[in-house]
Amino acid sequence: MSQLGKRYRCENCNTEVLCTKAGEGNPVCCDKEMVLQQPNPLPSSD
Amino acid sequence: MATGIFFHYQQGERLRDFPQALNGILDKDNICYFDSFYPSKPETDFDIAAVPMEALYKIHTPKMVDRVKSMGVHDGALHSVSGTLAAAEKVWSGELVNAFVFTGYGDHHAGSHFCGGGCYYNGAAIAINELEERFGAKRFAVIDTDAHHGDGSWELFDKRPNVLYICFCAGQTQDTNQNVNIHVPYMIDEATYLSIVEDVFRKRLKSFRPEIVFWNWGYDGTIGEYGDMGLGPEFQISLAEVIKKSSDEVCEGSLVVVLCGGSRRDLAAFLIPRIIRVLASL
Repeated sequence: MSQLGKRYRCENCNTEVLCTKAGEGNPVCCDKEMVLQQPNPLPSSD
Repeated sequence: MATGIFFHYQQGERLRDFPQALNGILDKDNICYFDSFYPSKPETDFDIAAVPMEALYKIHTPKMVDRVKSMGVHDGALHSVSGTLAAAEKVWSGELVNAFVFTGYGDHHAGSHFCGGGCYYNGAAIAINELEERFGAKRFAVIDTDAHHGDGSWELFDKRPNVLYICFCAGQTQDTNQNVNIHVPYMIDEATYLSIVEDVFRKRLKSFRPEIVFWNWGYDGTIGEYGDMGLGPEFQISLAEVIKKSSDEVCEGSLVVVLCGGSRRDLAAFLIPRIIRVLASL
């Protein structure tokens, strides 16, 4: 399932997309599922 | 014209429901979403770049920055400021009409050489300084509705007659230069509070004519919060409507909302999407 507000990248052509509406599937580019980009969280704020 | 959302990934309880809680907002045509922090991937137009240290040193003393670093909060505070600066630049350039900035740390207790209360760098002050120096902006307004007095902002803006700073808090009413503190008593009637904001903020804004408005928005005065002033959650939405309307009247809606006080996760998930909806007229 795609994740709202997360970015996905195509490992083939480097296209990047932002998920603005989550759904059951995962985004596909160049005939392959795009890879979820993992943000580096900063240290705790609270 | 679009509303910008500036988000960065900071570990903590309060914003744990984000960005998922922006469901039904991110897919709107007039919403632009900017985020950090993905250091491993190539930079894109929708990344929030870290504020350069030179910009920080124009507002805060090196000694204070060293102190913040020694507390282990420098990175989080820097990225909180980065969102505010990026939002201010895009609103000033006209790319966005207004913006909401998620922060890990607030602004208003951070002065030139002191900090506290979860505020380490003053994002609004840094953004104002950069807009003035690099873009020629001349007049600014900052409204502060966090429950506590913004002692850091007071000190920083007292030196700047081109900044109208209006703080609504439990402190005594004061009016010096363009620094205004409005006493808001504990358990104030919400309608009275709103009418004070209408009376003071809207009138002062109209006479001061800022080019851009910053709103230090803290929800810590909400019932059950650490600064509980007896205000219901709906009050914050009404406040947003008044402040947006005021900005529309004086500076074509140029408004940057900076998340400040408040600790409850449930209130954040309830209030923030609704504040953004007000900004974007959704």
